[in-house]
Amino acid sequence: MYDSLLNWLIFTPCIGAVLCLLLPADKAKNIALGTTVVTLLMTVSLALAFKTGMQGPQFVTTLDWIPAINVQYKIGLDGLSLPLVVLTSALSVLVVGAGWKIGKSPNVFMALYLFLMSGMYGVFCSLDMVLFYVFFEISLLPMYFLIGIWGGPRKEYAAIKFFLYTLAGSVCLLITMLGIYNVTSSADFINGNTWDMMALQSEAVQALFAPSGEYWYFARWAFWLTFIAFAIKIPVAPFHTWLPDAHVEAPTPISMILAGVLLKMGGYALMRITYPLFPDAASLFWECVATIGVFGIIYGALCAMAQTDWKKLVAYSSVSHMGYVTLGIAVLTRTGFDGAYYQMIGHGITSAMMFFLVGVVYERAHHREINKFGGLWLKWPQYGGWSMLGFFAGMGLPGLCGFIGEVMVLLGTFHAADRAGADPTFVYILGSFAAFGVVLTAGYILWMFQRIYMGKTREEYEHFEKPNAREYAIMVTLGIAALIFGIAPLLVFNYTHATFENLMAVIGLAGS
Amino acid sequence: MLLSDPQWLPQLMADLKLVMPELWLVVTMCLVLIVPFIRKGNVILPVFVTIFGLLMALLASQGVHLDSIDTARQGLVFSNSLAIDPFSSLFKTLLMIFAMLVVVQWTLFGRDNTHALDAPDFLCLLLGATFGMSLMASANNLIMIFIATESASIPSYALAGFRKKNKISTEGSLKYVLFGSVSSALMLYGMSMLYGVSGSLQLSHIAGTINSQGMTPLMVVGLVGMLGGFAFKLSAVPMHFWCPDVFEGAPTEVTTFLSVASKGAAICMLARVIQNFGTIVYNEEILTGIALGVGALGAVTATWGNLVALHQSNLKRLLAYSSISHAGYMIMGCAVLLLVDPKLILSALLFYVLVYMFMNLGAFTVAAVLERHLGTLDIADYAGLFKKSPTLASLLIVFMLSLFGMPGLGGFMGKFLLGAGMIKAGTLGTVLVGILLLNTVFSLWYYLRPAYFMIFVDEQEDKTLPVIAPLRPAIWTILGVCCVMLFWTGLLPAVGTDIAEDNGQMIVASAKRAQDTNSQHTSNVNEPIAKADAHR
Amino acid sequence: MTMLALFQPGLYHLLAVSIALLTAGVAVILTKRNAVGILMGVELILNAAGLNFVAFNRYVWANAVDGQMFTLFIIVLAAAEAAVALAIFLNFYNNFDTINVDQADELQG
Repeated sequence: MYDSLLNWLIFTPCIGAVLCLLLPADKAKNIALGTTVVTLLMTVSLALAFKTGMQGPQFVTTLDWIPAINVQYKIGLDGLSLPLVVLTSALSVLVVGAGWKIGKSPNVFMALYLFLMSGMYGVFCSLDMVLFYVFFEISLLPMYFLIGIWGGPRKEYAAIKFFLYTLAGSVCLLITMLGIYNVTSSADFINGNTWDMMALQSEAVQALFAPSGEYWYFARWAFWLTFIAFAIKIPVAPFHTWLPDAHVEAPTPISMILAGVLLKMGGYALMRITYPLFPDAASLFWECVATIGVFGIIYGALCAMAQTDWKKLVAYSSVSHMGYVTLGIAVLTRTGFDGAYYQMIGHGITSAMMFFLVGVVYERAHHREINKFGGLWLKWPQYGGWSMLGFFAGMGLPGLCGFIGEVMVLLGTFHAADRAGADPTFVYILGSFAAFGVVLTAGYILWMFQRIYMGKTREEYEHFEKPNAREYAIMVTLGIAALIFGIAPLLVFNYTHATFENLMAVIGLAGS
Repeated sequence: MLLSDPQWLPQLMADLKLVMPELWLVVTMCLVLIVPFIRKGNVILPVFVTIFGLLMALLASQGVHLDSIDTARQGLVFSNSLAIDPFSSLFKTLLMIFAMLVVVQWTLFGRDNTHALDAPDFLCLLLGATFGMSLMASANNLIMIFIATESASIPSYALAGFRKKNKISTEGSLKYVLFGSVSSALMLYGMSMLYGVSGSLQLSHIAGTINSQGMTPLMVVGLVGMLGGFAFKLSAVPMHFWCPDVFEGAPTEVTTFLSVASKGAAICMLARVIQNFGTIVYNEEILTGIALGVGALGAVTATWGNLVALHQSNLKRLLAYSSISHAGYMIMGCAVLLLVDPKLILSALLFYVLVYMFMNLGAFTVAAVLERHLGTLDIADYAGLFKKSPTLASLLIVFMLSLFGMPGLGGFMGKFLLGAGMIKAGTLGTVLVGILLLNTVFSLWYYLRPAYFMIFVDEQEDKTLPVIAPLRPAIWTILGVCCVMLFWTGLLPAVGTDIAEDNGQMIVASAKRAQDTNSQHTSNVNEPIAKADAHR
Repeated sequence: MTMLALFQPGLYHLLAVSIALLTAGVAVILTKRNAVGILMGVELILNAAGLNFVAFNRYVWANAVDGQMFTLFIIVLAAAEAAVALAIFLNFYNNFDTINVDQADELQG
């Protein structure tokens, strides 16, 4: 029963989207809200039925999709995907709430958003490479239109830049996939070849990609190609330039879902595809990848510090925070992986909250110049309080959800010194720089907070209406989540524990 | 020689049975020309006759499987000049369906431009071109290749210039006929070289000559000349100049027909030539050389088509360059046919043609609607169209995205299957896949241009779009069928791939020199294929 | 005797004529701006190819008639092609009042 529920979870948003388009436009918002609530309920019941001790995927559905080349429709949930699916469902409800006041054709907006949801669920649930790719790319298209139609002044530029960048990444992924297909079929694998992610992690395939294996050369190329594919999505520093543009132009709800869930696809895919498939290449290049991650942390933080546009600051803070995800994965320790994963969940909550907080003010002020604000706290003390919670969670204040991820990534990085083949000096330098990133983060967030919320109230705020109940509801939900996940990390680790054990065994780090 | 064989009559009858689709087309051509003597000035009657004839041809092309080809129903007919095999028969099926759809499209759009008296002539020319293309798919020796190409081209020249009073239509047809005749003359000269070297017109014997003599300079000249002729039909890069001009000038339904049927048939012909070489030649070096040459042609074609398409402002011209790049993708697929298990590539090509047919038909139909109702093909004039007629705009976007290769739509599956076949061809294959994918990224830019103008750009104050009058149900039906087919082949491709896989087989005549017609008839068709399997 | 053998028409003489025809044809196509002139160049190449077929058939592969048959087909199809081409030229003349191909420049890009 739960198996089919997972299928329904993926396709219910599609049904909702079609309904949005067919029924009168003024019903669209209610339909979208109903759909997201239904999917949330489905997700919760899946999470309750989830057996936390199981290592492999659960609720698996397997159907032949393209028999000619052994492509399957195979979906399932494991510890790696379940928390992200929950995050997606929960955020979706809030995003529909945040988009309640969309003026221009709300039915198309909601329909596109629901299609996007299907794509996101599909990415997190698919266990077949081709299926994964299809969902990965399908999720680009609604985003392109959502930014391009409802965006700000330079929306067209931002939309096409987003599309082309991520498409270039997907193409790197596709060529690797075709290569893997070729390799597995020439290796006389089961049925000639396979696209099944689980089967690709088996020892038979791993032996091919090992340094002693026949396809070691291919594995090194494939590692970098898939890394770039997902690094663009995360985004890792040299490939991040689409992100500030997309965020600045996108409407608030779309920024929320973009930062909250879409970026996580990159980190998820690194853990799901790149690292389990090419662990030896990963450990060969770990220093390089970790350096890229640390560079992202520092670079993102420095850029955020230099911004005068409030939303751009938050966007660059995403680059910085997602740098911890890259670093945590790159150092190849259990703590690092756990930390990177928790950082994704935490960032999903805080970035959505920060973008929403910016959006609330932007809707009234119609500008985002940090220097033209000041004294917001006095104007709306309640809003100020929730803002403090949100931004401090993003900053990584202990007791809030941003803290745990960052600290675990840092610990994991220092643990890497004990790993065979790692140069302790390098590890310490790396760890120090990453730790310095925390200071920078505190710097730019506090400075921004001071410029916007502190000081005297400005006269132009007079005509601002107070944030309404809908807006407070979203803020409060996200704030409480930030608090809960800041004090009870086991809520996530309970689910991920078994899967990460397995992942470590596949990567060959079972002991660490 | 033939008449001295007592079996000649039954053998002839058996051969004729296999070319029934072509015979039906010829009979229909005659009938369509007789119709005006019965009902002068009537359009519906000749259209009806044409559709009936195409339907009969469609039915006649069914039921060809390799296992059903026994000695009585030999797959190679008329002294090996035609190969009736699953590959060609599936292509013929698609061709007939497509021709029917084009006739319907013409009935809906073309009638205004064409005097009713011209209807039988138009249909006759269309049937003639279809006949030629159907022969192209089966052509197995040099004479047949030449005859088929010419009988597909000559009616096409006339079709391209069918709007006689229209300047750009006339100009397009002039360019078409000049390019076409020059390239066919050069192809013929190349063929004469091949004949001089090998002493036979059979593709398999020519390939056999490579085995015995290697790649002599004359052979290279001959092959390059022949490839030049193919390149013209495919609008591959050095011979592509006619394509955008003809596509822009010709009536839209003719453009639709030429963009899919003519290129598809040429791809089948190219695939058959290459398949003959791949099966019979066993020198890996020569095979790689040929693959490299053809692959380079495809890669240059695809890249050039995409680069030029980037700054097109006319919708039909944009689609013309897009069709050039799609031809390039298919040529790249043909190139690796020599190096891998051919079945995978052949079925991928068939699937590609199947999908390509529907997406181009859809895109050109929308172009025709827009040209007719808005009076312009300039993409920038479509600003704000999405608000005025959301369904039409969405359909155009779907077709464009499928041409681009968006997952979930058929175009992606076509490219994906092609890529999955190509990657098996070692380094060359990997490079070709890389080029294919890079081109896909480029092409996004121009495939999204209509979407960009229709949705993101608001209507200008000074030039408002005329309101699009309600379209006829038949037009919606064509568009709907195309759209549904694209989603179907994109989301549930299993049916299409199964059919393509079942039909991804070609028969290749024995390489053994056989001067006697009779011994050619009984030549063992399976022997070289078995050799090829053992060889790989 | 040797002198006579040199003048005895053989394969190489015919091939030389064919190459001369081909060259002339290509030169005509490249230099003429008149559509009918270009068509004549095409005919020259077609005849060069036909001559090749006949010559190869007669002197190299004399045991079948493939080449001669091909030449017959070339003649027939060249006639058909010329008919359609001339009709199109005529139509072009009606629209443009010229058959200079350089005037065909409405379509560009």
